[in-house]
Amino acid sequence: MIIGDYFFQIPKELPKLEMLSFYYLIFIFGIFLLSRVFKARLRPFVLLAANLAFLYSFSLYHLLLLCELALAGYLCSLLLIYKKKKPFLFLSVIVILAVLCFFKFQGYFHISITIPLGLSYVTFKLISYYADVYSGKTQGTRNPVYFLDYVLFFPVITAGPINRFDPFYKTLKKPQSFDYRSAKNGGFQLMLGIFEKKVFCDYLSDVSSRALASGLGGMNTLLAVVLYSFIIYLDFDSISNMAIGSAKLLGFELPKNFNSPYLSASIREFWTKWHISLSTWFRDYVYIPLGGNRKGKFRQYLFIIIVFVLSGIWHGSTINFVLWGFLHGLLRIIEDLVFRPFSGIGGTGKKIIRPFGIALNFFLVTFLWLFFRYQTIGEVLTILKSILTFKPLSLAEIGMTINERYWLVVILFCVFVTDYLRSRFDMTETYAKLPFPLRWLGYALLIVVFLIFGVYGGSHAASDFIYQFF
Amino acid sequence: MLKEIKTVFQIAIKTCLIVCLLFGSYQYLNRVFYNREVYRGETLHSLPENSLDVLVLGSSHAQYSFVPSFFYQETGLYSLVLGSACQPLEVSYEMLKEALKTQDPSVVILEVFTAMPLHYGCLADSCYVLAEYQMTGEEKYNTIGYLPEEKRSQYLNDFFTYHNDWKTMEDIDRLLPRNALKKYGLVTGDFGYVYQAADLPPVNWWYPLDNGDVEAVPLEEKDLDSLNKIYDLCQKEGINLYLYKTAIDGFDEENNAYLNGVWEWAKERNIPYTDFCTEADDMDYALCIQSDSAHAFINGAGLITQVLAERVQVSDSKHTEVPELTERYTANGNGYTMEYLAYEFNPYRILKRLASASGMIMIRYNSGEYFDDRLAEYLSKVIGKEFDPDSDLYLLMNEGRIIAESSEPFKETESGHTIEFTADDILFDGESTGCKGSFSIAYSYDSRFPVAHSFQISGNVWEIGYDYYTKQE
Repeated sequence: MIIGDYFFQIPKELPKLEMLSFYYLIFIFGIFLLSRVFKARLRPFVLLAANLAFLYSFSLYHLLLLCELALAGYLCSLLLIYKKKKPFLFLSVIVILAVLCFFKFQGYFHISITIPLGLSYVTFKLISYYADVYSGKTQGTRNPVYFLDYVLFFPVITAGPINRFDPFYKTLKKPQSFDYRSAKNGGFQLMLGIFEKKVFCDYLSDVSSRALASGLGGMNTLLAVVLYSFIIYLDFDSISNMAIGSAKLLGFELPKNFNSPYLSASIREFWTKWHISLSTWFRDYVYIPLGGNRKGKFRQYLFIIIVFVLSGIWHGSTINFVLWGFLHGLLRIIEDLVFRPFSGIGGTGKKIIRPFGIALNFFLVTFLWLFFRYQTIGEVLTILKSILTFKPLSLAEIGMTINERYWLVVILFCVFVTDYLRSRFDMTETYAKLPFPLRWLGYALLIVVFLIFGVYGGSHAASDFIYQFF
Repeated sequence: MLKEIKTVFQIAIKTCLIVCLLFGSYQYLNRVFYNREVYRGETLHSLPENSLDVLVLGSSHAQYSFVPSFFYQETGLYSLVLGSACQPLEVSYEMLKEALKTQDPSVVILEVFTAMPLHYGCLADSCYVLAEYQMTGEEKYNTIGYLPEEKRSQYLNDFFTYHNDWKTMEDIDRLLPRNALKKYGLVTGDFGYVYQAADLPPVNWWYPLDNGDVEAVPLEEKDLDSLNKIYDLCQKEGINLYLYKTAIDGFDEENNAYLNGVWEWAKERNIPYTDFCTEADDMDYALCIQSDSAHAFINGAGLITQVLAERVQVSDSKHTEVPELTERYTANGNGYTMEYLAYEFNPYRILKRLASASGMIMIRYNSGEYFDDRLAEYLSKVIGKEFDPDSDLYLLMNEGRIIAESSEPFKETESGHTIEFTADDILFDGESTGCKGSFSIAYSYDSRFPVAHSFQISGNVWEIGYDYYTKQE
């Protein structure tokens, strides 16, 4: 009898390397070690093998489809590298978009085929690569291994962030020397991502579900709706942190994907801090090529609407997603029209107005998440009607114990404080500079809090990341 | 080069530190987050070695139907139920092996519900929780081995399963690990019995189908294998094996065919057994069971225990007297007697139970009406001497001793309570117990307000209670 068998089950087949699984942690640290063991010139091959193994763990289907897509993308890219002609660019983009659209909108044609893992992110990366090669921002690569490493880079394939080719390629090509601090920070950020998801996000998700399921309505539904704002943020931020941390462990620096978005005082500011890699992608590859702000106000506003509607359609094919994008665009325009005259206000006046701006912006964003969360307008209206019954908040009836209520307050407080600090400092760097005892006290505290308050074990089934499905 | 070695060394040390921190915290928290409810049942290893006379194994039907404290009151034997919801027979075998590590029972009573395919419809998780708490070594791993692989590890530690208890923790002292058993005494819980209150007035009585005509089928291989193993182990250890099944029938012929398969197997080996389905008729269907779970109510459990106490052969009690255990069995027995009486209206059964209990008993009897011999015999057992139906009787007993007795009403103070007998009632601390009939009996334990029954004879029929029961037992 091997007692260890019961603590760690050696899987009979390759387990899915889902980012919250223990196997993913083993995988990422294994690749980290391997990439250090092999010489720099072999590192791209190690990374390619890791990418392929990662996809294969989900199924051969995902691996084959994405490889086919990536190879088709590679051929198109060669075409562009050799002949920088506009028709080639269009052809390449149309091919890749056609594949994305086929899978995204297959429901309209009564087809049901599993969408390959990370198809959206691969598409975005390919389009940005084509555009950069065409515009000369990057030379591109003729080496298929480098190309596949970029397109199929496993830490970001499931939910981003959308990294650009040039910085990735430069890191991949340079003879790396081991950067202990960067690796350590990467590992820490990866762990923080898990902590954020399992301790904060999943707990809020549980409370929100209970508040809605209670059917009490009024402020209880409002609580669920407000919590959803935090859930979607923490969910996406956690997977981004895990991806950025994983990439950092492997020596790749990825840009921040979130920068305290709920501390934004306007929709415009919000979109410079929320899903930054997507916002900048739309800015660089849709908004600016369309004409940006260079063709007069009317067209600028039209382009804004187009960008936001496209962003909505990317998130989902229902009318609610289109509305969600459209309303964000509309608010962005209204904001520009209404508040432009006040843009000159600075100093103390700005400091006084800002908290109101943050509150108003949070209210609007939270309201718009309703369109994001629900499939139909009818469902959104039902929720709104439920809130408008104004029934008082009853946490006891939702089934929250006193301890749970305290913990809810602690979580929201922590999110607010850490967001504020993150908006001012690089938290991992700042933390790394703390004195040794303090740092380790922090680690111990995080471990104990994770063990006690983490949502795991028993009958709990790990919830998926929301953005995994886009 | 030196720098690189230093870095590698640094990483190794820090990784070890993190692992130690994680492991240390986990071990600490594992002791804090034990599950109090489950822990209550951790009786096996808190019992002194070789103290058990009878071990009961089986499913939840065993947990709900066998009351060790009643069994003690009936027989003076120490017993324990090692049961859990839908406990498969193979797990019962592992439980037996586990128990034999520290105990040397004379009898093993095996409840065989899980030999019927019917049990596949229920969740068997709780036997793994029991394994987690009460089993050790190979037996524990074997039991957990029956679980799906992905579930096993969570049953090996409390913390993984119960860390969510922080939501309901009230006392901060739970953050200080301590041994709950030490705090709460040598033995906690009810020796594996699970209490099920009955409905009042008694309803949901179960009328089992007669399964005698259903032809037996061979048992499933794993069940047969487990039964054989249990039998062989009992033979080897010189233990008498006894089988029983509560008054739940298999609902259909297929299940009853398997049950008859068990009885066939038992007959071949001369193993005695009781099928309470077939006995139910003789017992007036008093083995009432809960309609959803088919578990026996407290009064059904009382009767089943009583029958088993009469039928199970224990040559000699091997256990050494352990005052704490005796105290617990007695206290539980008296406590459950109050519950039993609250749901029981048959005067014969009431007296039979009271004959074993040792709380405060108050009897008021006015002669002149019909009083049958059997009832007189039972009452004699309660009071410990011959009962004369021709004389009035006012009697107060406590802890098995007669405190006061008279043919006239009287008032007495006992255990801090004033008990006053009047011509038409018994007052407990000045409050009426409702004992208005010509024959009244009240029982109190642990200073609780008495459970009282009062009977008035009209012709040959008891006005209260008796007309529900055409048969006496």
